[in-house]
Amino acid sequence: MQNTTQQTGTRFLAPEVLARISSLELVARSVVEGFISGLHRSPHLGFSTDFAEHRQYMPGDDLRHLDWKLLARTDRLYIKKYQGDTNAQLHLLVDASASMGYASGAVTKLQYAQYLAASLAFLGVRQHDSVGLGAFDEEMVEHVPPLSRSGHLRTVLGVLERLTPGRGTALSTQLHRMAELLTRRGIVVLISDLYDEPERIMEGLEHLRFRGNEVIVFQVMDRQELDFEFIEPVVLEDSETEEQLHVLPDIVRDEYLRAMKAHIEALKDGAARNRIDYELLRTNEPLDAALSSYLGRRSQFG
Amino acid sequence: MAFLNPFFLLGALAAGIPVLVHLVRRTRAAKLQFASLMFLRRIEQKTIRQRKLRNLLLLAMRCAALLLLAFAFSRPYFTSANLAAPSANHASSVILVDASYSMRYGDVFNRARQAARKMVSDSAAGEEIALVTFASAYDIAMPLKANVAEANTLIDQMQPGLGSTDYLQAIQAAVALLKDAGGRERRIHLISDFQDAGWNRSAAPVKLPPDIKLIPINVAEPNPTNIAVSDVKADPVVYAQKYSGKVIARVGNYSGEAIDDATIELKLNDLTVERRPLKLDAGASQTIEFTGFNVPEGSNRATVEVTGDTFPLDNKFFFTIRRDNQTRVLVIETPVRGRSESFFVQQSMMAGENNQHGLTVKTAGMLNPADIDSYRVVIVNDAAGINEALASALKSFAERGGGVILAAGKHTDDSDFNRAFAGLAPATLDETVRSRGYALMSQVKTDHPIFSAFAGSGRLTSTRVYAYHRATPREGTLTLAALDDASPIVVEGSAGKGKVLLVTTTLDTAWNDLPLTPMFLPLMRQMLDYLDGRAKGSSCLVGQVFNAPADPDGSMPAVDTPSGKRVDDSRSNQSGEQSFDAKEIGFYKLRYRDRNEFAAVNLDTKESDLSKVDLDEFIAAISRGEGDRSVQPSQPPHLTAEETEAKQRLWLPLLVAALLLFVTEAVIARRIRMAKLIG
Repeated sequence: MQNTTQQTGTRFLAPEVLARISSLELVARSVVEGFISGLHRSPHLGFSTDFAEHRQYMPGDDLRHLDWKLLARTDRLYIKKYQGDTNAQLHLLVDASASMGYASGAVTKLQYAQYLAASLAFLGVRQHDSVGLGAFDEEMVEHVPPLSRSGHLRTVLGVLERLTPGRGTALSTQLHRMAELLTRRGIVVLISDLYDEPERIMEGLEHLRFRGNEVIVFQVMDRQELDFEFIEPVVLEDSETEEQLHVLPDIVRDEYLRAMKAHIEALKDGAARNRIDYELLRTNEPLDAALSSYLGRRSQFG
Repeated sequence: MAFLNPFFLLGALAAGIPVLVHLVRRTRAAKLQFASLMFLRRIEQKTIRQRKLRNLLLLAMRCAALLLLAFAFSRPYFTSANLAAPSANHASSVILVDASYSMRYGDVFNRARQAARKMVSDSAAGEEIALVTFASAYDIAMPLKANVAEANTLIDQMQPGLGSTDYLQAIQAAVALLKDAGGRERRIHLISDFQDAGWNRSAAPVKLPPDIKLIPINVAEPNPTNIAVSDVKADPVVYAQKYSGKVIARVGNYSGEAIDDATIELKLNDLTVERRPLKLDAGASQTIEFTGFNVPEGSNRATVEVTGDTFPLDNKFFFTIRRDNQTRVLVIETPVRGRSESFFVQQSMMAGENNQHGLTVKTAGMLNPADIDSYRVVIVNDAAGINEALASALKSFAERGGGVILAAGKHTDDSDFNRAFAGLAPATLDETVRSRGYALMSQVKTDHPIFSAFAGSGRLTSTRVYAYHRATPREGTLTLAALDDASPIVVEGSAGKGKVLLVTTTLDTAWNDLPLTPMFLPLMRQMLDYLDGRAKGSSCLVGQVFNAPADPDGSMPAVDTPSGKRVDDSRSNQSGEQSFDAKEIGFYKLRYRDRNEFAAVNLDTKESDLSKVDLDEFIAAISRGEGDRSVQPSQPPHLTAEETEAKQRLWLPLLVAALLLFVTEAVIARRIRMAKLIG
């Protein structure tokens, strides 16, 4: 296991800066490399030391991993395979509903989710995990099955890049559906604003857990949703239902914040009960917290 | 309701500002996309309603406070028509209660009180009643209002005064009170002993409007007996120990029966000087003379008192007799052959028995300058040869408060005069002018004390002046008399504390004919009195103002009333005297630093005559202007809008209410804000 002593500082690029980078791959690389460079270097370069099997040398393999003793005995070129190299399946589930299109600043929640998903995919590929992607609103709008072959990352990133805010959310339904789809256990990362009843969300997540998956939930929220900093009276339009409401912030702020807090607390409790990692992310904060959370869970998964 | 500053009502539009802000902000509410209204939909409508209600309350308070503020600044007031409106269907009555001193007779004033109480208790519910007491002036104890309890309390507190009766001005006041009353029936109840003396037939007639009814209520004693000292004449100042003049007292019997056993008594400083028995026929008056008694030095309290009736208030007359030393007057003249040039001056001083002035005539050469200080006034009567020592002594004499008359005639050389009296004379002399015929002393300041006695007579201005010295008055002096061509004849100036009069012509008949006229004697005495500056005895009637002159050093006396209380409502008049209202009869004591003086205050004795007015004639006279509504009561004047508003001062409670609303609004808003912050 790698030592994940985390450093804070400006090496993490702010989401607003990432928004100016057009290529999602470049974004993912910037985030992950910035993140990795903050970790203590390991002499094993990130690979497990547990021997698993041999495989025939292929041109391009790192010569450091050649089994020199076997070469001496048999005059054949074999590469040592270690436990850490065993592929884990990383399923990224990205909520692409209309509510994810909301932004009070430079970055929408969906963009943030895209950066996060891309970064996780990049990180996963670096670790030889097979990365799959599912994007949904009321329906599953994109699905990329997990693969570990080279070039798959580009596919995943390409699909991510295409995502635009869609219609309403049917989160729990899509979670159940994804649980059925995943045939092999792995790590399921859900990136969503979780606008659904906590019980129903938990039911879907429990289903995923039941299928042997490790589940990480990233709730992506805008600062305005969490703090409700409106001052003047406004007419708010629901981005999914297009319903309009005349709101006097002074009057409703307290009640709104109370309801939001209760919702988040319910999600946290449900996640803790089901041993699900839950992380609340603000779109105006760097992605490091999410990556740390992922790596922690990845190490447990082995 | 009316407004003094109606333009401020435009400020009420400011009350719309909070509402306008509310509406503008509401319509301007930006439309924004929001991720989800999931939670906003859940917020209980009750909470929103409560908070909206609270905010509406704040809004209402702000609007109301602004409205009240605008209202207060517009200075609202109720017009009398508004005030009277609620009782327009009831009667309005003014109860006039005579509080003159004749009402002190026997039980008369108690009967007046009972009559007033009966008026109040007989009044219908809601009837407006005003209470007015009157004598020579009136006092509105209670303006028109429907308050029986207050009226009864005020009736209990009423007391008769010391004034004399004047019905007409009281009725005028009552008419003025009723003028704006909204009552269906308007009445004046006049409660009095109805003395004939209270009806001043020479005053402008009062005509009662036809819709106002006068109801006389006579509370007089049927057959009163009263004798009174109606007047006393006496010399206020004497200069010898023996009172050589006469004290003449007039005593009247104002009843229908003869009085045989009365006595009359003259007292000086509470000691009986003389007592005599007195017989008075019914309705007769008699004069009694006293003389030949000794008068102590200084100011003396004298009274003439009669006894023999049941109403002693008007039986005593107070006056003062003052014994002064003679004013020593020195005349400095030029030695001439034959008749002294001061002959006419001497004659004017020495006329009469009670001679105020002690005159000494000396020539300049025979006078020791040090002797001047023993005189009060020095007359330099055309005196030549005034040496430097004498001129200097005269100057210092004047500066210490002495009076000087400088008369310039044929012996007076202009340059010598100007040199000798450089710091004393109010004018410099020039050449002598001799008229071909004569000039008239046509310009006389009759408002000056010297000439005030001649204000009504034109004879002084016909004085012929044949010759005079041309004079140039110095700065700060006053020309009191001048010829047609404005050449000064009498110029007044001052030197230190003393006064100096310059006469540019002679005090005998050489240059003018004034000594031959009847005005010379009073003019000389007026001049000497003015330069002497001593006060005479003073007396006045109760209710009048009397003046206490200041000491020569400018200090004011402390004044005690006859009952021994200190007078503390004094005021200074234009001539530097202290003025007081004479509220009690008897002797007011003026306490100077070195002596006590007294001022006598008496009743107006016309009130002593208790004979009754013919009521039918009186009412007929009052009501004869029936149908004539042109009479506008002059007392009290109809209140102007400013006076009405100032009296009601409605702006004050409005302003206080606005401020309270602002404060309450601020407190509530702050509490809501604090609750939000804590939340």
